[in-house]
Amino acid sequence: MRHAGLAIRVIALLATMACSPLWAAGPPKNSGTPADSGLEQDIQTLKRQVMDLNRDLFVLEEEMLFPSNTQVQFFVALDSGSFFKLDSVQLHIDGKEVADYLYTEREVQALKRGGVQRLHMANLATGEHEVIAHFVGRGPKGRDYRRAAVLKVNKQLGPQYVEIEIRDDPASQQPTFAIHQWQ
Amino acid sequence: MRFPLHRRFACAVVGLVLAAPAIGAVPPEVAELHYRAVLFNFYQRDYLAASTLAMAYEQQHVLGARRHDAALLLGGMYLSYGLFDATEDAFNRLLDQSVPSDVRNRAWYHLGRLAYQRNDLDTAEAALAHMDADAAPVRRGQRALLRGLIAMRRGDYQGAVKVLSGHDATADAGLFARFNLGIAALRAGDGARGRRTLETIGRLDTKDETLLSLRDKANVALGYSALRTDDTGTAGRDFGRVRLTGPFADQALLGAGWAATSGGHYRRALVSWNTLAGRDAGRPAVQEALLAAPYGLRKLGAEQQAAAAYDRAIDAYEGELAQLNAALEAVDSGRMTDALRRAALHARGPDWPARLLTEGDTAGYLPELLAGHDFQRAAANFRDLYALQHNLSYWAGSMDGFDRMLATRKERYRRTAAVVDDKLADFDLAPLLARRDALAGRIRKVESGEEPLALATPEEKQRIGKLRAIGKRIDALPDGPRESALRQRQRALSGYQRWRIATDFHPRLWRAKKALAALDQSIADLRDRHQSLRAAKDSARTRFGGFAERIADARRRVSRLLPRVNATIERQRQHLETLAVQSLRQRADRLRSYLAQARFAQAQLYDEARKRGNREAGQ
Repeated sequence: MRHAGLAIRVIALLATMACSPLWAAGPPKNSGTPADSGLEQDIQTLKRQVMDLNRDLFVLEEEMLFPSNTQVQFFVALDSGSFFKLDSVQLHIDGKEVADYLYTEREVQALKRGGVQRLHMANLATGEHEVIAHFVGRGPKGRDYRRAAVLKVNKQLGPQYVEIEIRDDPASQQPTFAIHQWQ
Repeated sequence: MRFPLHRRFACAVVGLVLAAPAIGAVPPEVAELHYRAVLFNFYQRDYLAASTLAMAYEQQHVLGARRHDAALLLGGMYLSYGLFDATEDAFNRLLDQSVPSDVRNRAWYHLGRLAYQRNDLDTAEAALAHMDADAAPVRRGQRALLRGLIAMRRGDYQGAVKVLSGHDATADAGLFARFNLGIAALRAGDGARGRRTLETIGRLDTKDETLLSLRDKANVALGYSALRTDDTGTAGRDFGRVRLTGPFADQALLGAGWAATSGGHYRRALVSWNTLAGRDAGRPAVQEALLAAPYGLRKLGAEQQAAAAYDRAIDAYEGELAQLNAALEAVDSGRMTDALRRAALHARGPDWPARLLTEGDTAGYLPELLAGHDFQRAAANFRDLYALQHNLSYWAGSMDGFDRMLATRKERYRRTAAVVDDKLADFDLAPLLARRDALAGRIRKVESGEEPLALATPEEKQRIGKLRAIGKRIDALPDGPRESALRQRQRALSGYQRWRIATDFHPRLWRAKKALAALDQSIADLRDRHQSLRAAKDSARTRFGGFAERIADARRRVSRLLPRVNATIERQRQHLETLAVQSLRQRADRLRSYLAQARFAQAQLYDEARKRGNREAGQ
C-alpha cells in the first residue's frame, strides 16, 4: 500500500513534533537566524533608531512643556481592586478640571498587576494647590460607586509627584482613596 | 531689617530659572512610580511605549534603585521586539560587579537564552557558567532547563538527562523541565525512564490550560514512542488520555487509529479516523485520516464503502487544492499582505494574529502560515514596520508643533527677560553695603565703649530724652525744698535708666552682632541670587539654542527614517509573499501526493472489482 508508506512517514513527522523539547514559556519565538538576514538586520536597525528618536522626542517634549521647576506629575495606582472596579478618574486642580480618564479593561488589568498610570502633567507655581480626584466605578456588590479624595499640594522648586491611590481595605470590605505627594 | 529686593529677586529667579534634571539620589517612592509607569505599558504589551518610557526615564535618572529592574525589563522587551543586538547590549550593561548579584544572574541567564535562540550554543553555555552557584532556586531551575535544552540541541541526550535530572520539578517550570527530561531519556535510548517521567505529566490532574496542553503533548509523545516499539495497546491508552478538543487532538486521533490498526482492530481505528476526517481538511492530520479511513474499510472488506470514502477524500483534496490556488492567487495579487496590514493597524500585542482570522477572503490559510516560525516572525516584523511608519508619521506631523512650542517659550522669555532686565538695572548693592558698613562701624564703637547709649531701644532713648528735658525745666526753677526733691527724683530715674541699659549691654551687643551676621548672610544670598538670575537669563538663551538644535536634529532623523521604513515595508512585503508561496506550494505538493494515492487506490479498487466481476461472469 503506497499510502501506508506515506502514513509511516507522517507518523514519524508527527512523532518528531510531539517529541520536540519544550521551553517553559513556549518554544523560543526568535531564532535569530531568519531567511533574509540582511533585511532582518535592517529592520532591527530601524526599530532601534525609531526607539531612540521616540526617547529623545519624549524627553524634549517634556522639557519644553513642563520645565522641571514647575512640573508636577499625577499618577494613578490601584491595589488589588477587589472592592472597586475602576471606570474613570477625574482630576481637578484649584477647582479646574484638568483630566477625565476612562479606563479600558486592559488598562485596569495592568493597574491591578502593579502598573501605575501617569494620568496628567501640569505646570504649577510654588505654593499651595488644592487637588481633588473623583473616582467613578463599581463598589462592593456591583453598586455604582463615586468617591473623592482631596490633598493640599505644597508645590516647591523641582519636579514633584502626586500619587492617587486606590486601595482595598479588608477590615471594612470597602475601597479607600488617598492622594500622596512625593518629591 | 527687611530687604524687599531680596524677595523680588527670589520671585524673578523662580519665574526664569529652568532647573537642570534632578540627578542623584531618587526617593524610593518616586523611583517606584516611574518603574511602575513602565510596567503599566508593559503589562498591556505595548512594548514600544514601555521601552520608550524606560529609555527616557533612564536618561532622566528617575529610576533610582529600580534602574536595574527597568534595565532587565528593557532587555526583555528588546528581545520581544526582535532587537537581538540591543538585547545583548542591555544585558551586558548589567554584568558589572556593582550590580546586585540576583540582577547579574538574571542578566547572564537572559544572555544565555538569547545565545541559545541564536543557536550559538557555546556562548549560551559560557553565559550560564557565569551564574552564581548559590543563585536563587528559581534561577538555578532556569539554568538547568536551559542547559538541558542546549545539550538536546547538540544531540547529547545523555548529558541532557544528567542536567535535567537534578531539576526541582515542583513548580510549573519544573514540569516543562521534566517533560524535556522524558524526551531526552527516550532519545537517549532509556525508554523505561522516558516513559516513567512522561507518564507523571501525562497523568497530571489539573485545570490549567497550559498544563493541560503539556499533559496532552506528553501523552502524544508517549503514544508515538509506544507505536515505535509496536506496543500498540499502550499506545492506544496513551492517545486515549489526550483531550479531543485540545491542540494535540489531531495527532492523537491519527495515532490512535494506527495503534488500533497495528493490533488488527480496524473498526476501532475507523472510529478515530472518521472522527478526524470530519474535521477541517486543511490540517495535515485530517488529510492523512481521509486516506487512512478507506484503507481501514478495505481491510474490513467493505470495498464499496472504501470506494465512497476515497471519493470523499478526492473531493476534499481537490477542494483544498482549489482553496490553495485561490490563496496563491491572493498572495500574488497582494491581498494577503493587505490583510496583514489591516490587522497590524487594528491590533497590538498577542491579539493581532486572531484579528487576521477576521480579515476577509484571505484568512483561510493564514493560521497555518502563521504557525510556521519564519512566516510568523516575518509577519511580526511587517506589523512592527507599520507601527514604526505610524509612529514616524505622527512625529513628522508634530515637528511644526515643536517649533511653535519653542516660539511660545521664546516669546514668554522675551517678556520675562525685559522685566528682569529692568530689575537688574535697578539693582545696586552699593547703598546697601554702605549702610551695612556704617552699622558695623557703630557696633565696633559701642563695643569699644565710645557710645554707651547706642544700644538703647528707641523707647529708652525717648525716656532719657524726656528725663533730660525735665531736668532742664527743674534747673530753671528757683531753688527750694520741693524743687530739690524733684531734681533728686529726676536724677534717680535717669540713673536707673542708664543702669538698665548698662547691665543689659552685653546681651544687646550680642544681638546686634547676630543681626549684623544675618544681614551679611542676606546680602550674600542676594548676591548669589543676583548672579544666578543673570546666569539663568544667559543660560535660557543658550538652552533655546539647544532646543532649536534638538528639534532640527529630530526633524532630520524623521525625514531620513520615514522613507527607509516605507522601502523596508515593501521589501518585507515581498519577503512575506515569497515565504507564503513556498509554504503554500509545499502544502499543494503534499495534497497532490495524497490525491494521487487516493486516485491510485480507488483505481485499484475498481480494477479488483472489475476482475472479480469478470471472474464471476466466467464462472
